[in-house]
Amino acid sequence: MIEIKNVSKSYVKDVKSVDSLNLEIKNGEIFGFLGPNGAGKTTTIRMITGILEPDGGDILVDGYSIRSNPIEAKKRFGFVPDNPDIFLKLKGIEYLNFLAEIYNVPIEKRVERIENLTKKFEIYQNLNSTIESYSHGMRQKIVICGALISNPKNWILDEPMTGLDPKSSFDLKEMMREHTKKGNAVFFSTHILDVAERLCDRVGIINKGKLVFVGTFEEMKAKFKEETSLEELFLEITEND
Amino acid sequence: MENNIILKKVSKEYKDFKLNDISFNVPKGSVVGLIGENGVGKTTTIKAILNIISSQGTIIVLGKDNKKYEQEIKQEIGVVLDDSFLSDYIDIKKIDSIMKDFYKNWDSKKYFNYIKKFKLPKDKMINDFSTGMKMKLKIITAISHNPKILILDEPTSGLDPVVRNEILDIFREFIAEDEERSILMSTHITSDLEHISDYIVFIDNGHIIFNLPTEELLENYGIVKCKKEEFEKIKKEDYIKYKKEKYQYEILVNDRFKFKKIYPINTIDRASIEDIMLFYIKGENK
Amino acid sequence: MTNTILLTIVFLKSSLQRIQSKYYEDAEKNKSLRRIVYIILFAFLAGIIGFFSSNIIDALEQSNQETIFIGLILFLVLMVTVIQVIFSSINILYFTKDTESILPLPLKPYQIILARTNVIIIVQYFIEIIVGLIPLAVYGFKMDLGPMYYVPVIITLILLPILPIILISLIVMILMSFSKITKNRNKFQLFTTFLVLAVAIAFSIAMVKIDEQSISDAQMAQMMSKANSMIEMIKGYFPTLKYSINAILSNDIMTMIIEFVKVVGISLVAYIVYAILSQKLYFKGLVGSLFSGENKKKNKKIKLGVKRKNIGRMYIGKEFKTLLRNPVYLVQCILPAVLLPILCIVLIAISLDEATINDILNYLSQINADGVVLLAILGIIQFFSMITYISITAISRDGKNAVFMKYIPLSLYKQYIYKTIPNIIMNLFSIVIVLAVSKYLVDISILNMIVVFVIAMIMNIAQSFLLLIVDLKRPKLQWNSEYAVVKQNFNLIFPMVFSLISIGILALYAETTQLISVYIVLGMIAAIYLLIAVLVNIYMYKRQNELAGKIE
Repeated sequence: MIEIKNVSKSYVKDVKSVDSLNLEIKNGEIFGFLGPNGAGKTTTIRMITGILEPDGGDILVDGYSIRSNPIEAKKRFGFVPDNPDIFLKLKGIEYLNFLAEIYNVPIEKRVERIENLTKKFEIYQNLNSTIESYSHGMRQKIVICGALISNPKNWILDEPMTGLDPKSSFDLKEMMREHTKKGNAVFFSTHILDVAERLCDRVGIINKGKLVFVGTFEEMKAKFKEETSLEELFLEITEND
Repeated sequence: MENNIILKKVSKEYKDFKLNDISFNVPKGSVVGLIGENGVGKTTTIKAILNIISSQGTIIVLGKDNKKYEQEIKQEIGVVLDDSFLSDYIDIKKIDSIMKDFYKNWDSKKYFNYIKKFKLPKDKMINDFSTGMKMKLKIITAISHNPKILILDEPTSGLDPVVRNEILDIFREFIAEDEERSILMSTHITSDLEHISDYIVFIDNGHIIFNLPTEELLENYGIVKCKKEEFEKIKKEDYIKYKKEKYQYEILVNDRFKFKKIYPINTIDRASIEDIMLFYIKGENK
Repeated sequence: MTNTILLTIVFLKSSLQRIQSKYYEDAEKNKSLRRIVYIILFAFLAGIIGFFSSNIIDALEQSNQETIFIGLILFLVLMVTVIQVIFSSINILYFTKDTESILPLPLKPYQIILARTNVIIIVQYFIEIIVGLIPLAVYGFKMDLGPMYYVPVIITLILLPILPIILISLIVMILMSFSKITKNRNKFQLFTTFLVLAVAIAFSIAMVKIDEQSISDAQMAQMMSKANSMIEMIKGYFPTLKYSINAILSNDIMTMIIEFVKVVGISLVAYIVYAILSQKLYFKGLVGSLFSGENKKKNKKIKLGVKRKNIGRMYIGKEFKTLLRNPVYLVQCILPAVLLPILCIVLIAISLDEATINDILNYLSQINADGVVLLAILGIIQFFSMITYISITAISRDGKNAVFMKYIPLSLYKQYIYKTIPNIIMNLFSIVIVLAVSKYLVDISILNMIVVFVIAMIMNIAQSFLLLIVDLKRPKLQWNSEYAVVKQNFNLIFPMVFSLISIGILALYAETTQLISVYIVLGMIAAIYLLIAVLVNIYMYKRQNELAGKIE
């Protein structure tokens, strides 16, 4: 569970990139975070993960504050950043072992999880090559595997489908569903509304730093009383501000 | 000549990957979408058409062999590949002055009109553009010499819906302006293809799995969900692929109306392009 | 034709700006500062070359052989061109990033090739200014020559590189169309860097040896005329060189024009032949380097290493792997710490002989300078740590990935320590080597060695942490090329500054060893640096989050 409590952030004086954001991602749900570029999506995600310090407010992961108890909070989520070009000089297996160690994955489980995850995403046979030699899609996959290796309760994914081929995309979505069925939470941002509609239990749309909508897709359609496509709804919501 | 591009048995062999007897056409006035997993041949096919790599087989572009008439053909093609532009250190005006000399049909007026329309900064270097702006610029540059064919490799990857929409609009305008034109684009984002392509060519492991009109895929294809007993009663020629799930079977059919008339199963849904692809990749044969 | 020229300009801009200012996204800030630095460096270099040229010319004048100088310099230019072009041609022709975007354009192949070749030629011109123009200008100045000299010189410098560049490019193309080097860009660049290093080391050793035997003017002139006869022989094989020299040395315009016409003629023919031949060869080799398919290599059995190491060792291991496996970091961060001390030993070993060593030893024992010796050893160690650029780049090297530190459940303080340790370890090399050499040369006692070692390590630790804090406060995270972090980074001044301050402190204390026992002095130094180390650590611990504030 992730609770975002009245969080704000300004980069430039008097201009709030994120303005008093309040949001709760409940256990058992897949939550989609949408919004045009520059709306505050990335800033929000960075604050949740501890990369950015909010000016005001707090964020709790499973009850642990990211500001006052960062280490405990960070143990409880796995994060997939939007840039998968990470540690290019490490071999895939070295990267995974490294993360397994940081997140304290019990030894007996390590081999099993690494094998399962990498075989599922079909990068098992590339583990002995450096991440530099991977294509963009493969890098994305290794980062995903790394984030999931500790089986964290909360998954935070920043545009995870970009660059993924359809099969891996499908596998990831299935994993997200399975994960939330077990009572865990998945929070991800995406540009592909289609995916969001079919996958998410609830969505939040952020525009110019403020949350302009939170709820299910049915609720969105009801609220805006249009039988139009999701994309048109989205464009309307974000352009009308 | 009905087709702008004809590929006949195009093959290319690399150390650990093979492109096998690829044959398909890009008709005039149409948008053809290429989908497939990474590393299975989409980009290789595009490069073969452009003669950036050598290949076996025949490729006819605008009625001419693409190897013999490479220069002429290139005058008539606009290309957007998934990498950096000519140079990161030039600006919009410089591109105009360069392209003017490269392309006989370069239309400066049109180019600058588009630049204005999309509010691209005239005084910054390309290096300083955002990803969305770079892509718009690449596309504008590709169409400003009035090419007959537009070839794109992953043009909308990583862009937000607003920008993607603008880009798809550019494509629609491009086709509408001249019925002799075609677009060939490869992408992952199947929802974009559903919006804009007339045909979809699905490549997997170097082979063409299907090459069908989009409308047929979206309208006629369907997914049937049924139990094991019901599945066993279905004749093999009435479906394409099936998947065995935990409590039910899922079947891909290519004519859901016909199927419904024959079999009394209620759960037949439309199929999205993605569903269809996944059936072909993960599903089992009869 | 204009297409080619346009392309040339585009390529040139890309190459030059890529090298220069666009490593950072905020490059504009330091532009003028950097320009001033370049001008100063250039003036400095020009000064040195001018000085040496002047000396050589004077020596030659003694035996009236000064005209050899021209042939000598031009020959040198030719040689430098050949060697340099072998590497730059491979880089420019095959390893530039914009190739894929060029190929779909409606350009004739020869236009692409010639544009690229023009870039190679123009880059050569820049080098020629230093290696060729300056010495020849000095000559002209000393001999008080007029336009009849300078004009042919400049024409020569423009025309001379063309033929060798064309030949070498052709050979490179032939080779590339067969071999598979194109796929291993990284390894190739690593190889060339090592080669350059090896040559530089060999050269400096040679310089030292030459310096030893102070060469009289007469000997110099003798060497030069030997060189000249060799050049006469080689001139036969390089007709353009011969004609150019003739043109410069001639006294009337007619001869000059005729000689130049010959040069132009040969170069032009070569250019045209090149344009035709290269079209067949270039693209074969080029295309090989373009295929970027997924790497589906079937690896041998995957070693799923599950041995548990503690997080510290793994983290430090990760730091080292990034340093060692990245050619740029390897050469700029790791190698200096290892090579420089070894190089110095080698140079000392060559230049010092038994007699000089004994002299030094006698002098030292006479003034009873034990204390000063120990402080001097610490000073030398400080000198070597000036170029260990690991801590000072620990955060910047991660670039856009630096945020990784902040979202993993590992305390920032611990990560700071893990990131500093590689710097401490690399400095260990120079510490050990210096101590070993001191033992050999000056025979300090074991006790003193241990004392110096401990103090050197304390200083090492304190400074390494300080440097990390500098990088945390002023990180350079937005870069496109690793060179921006390890070469064009203002922070790199700090290791030098800290070392100089330390040397200053040591020097000050050296004064006092006449009065106080050296051990008290050393104790005080140890105490100062220990205090610094402890305070810095407390600061890092208490302010771990603020320190990471710039990483986002």
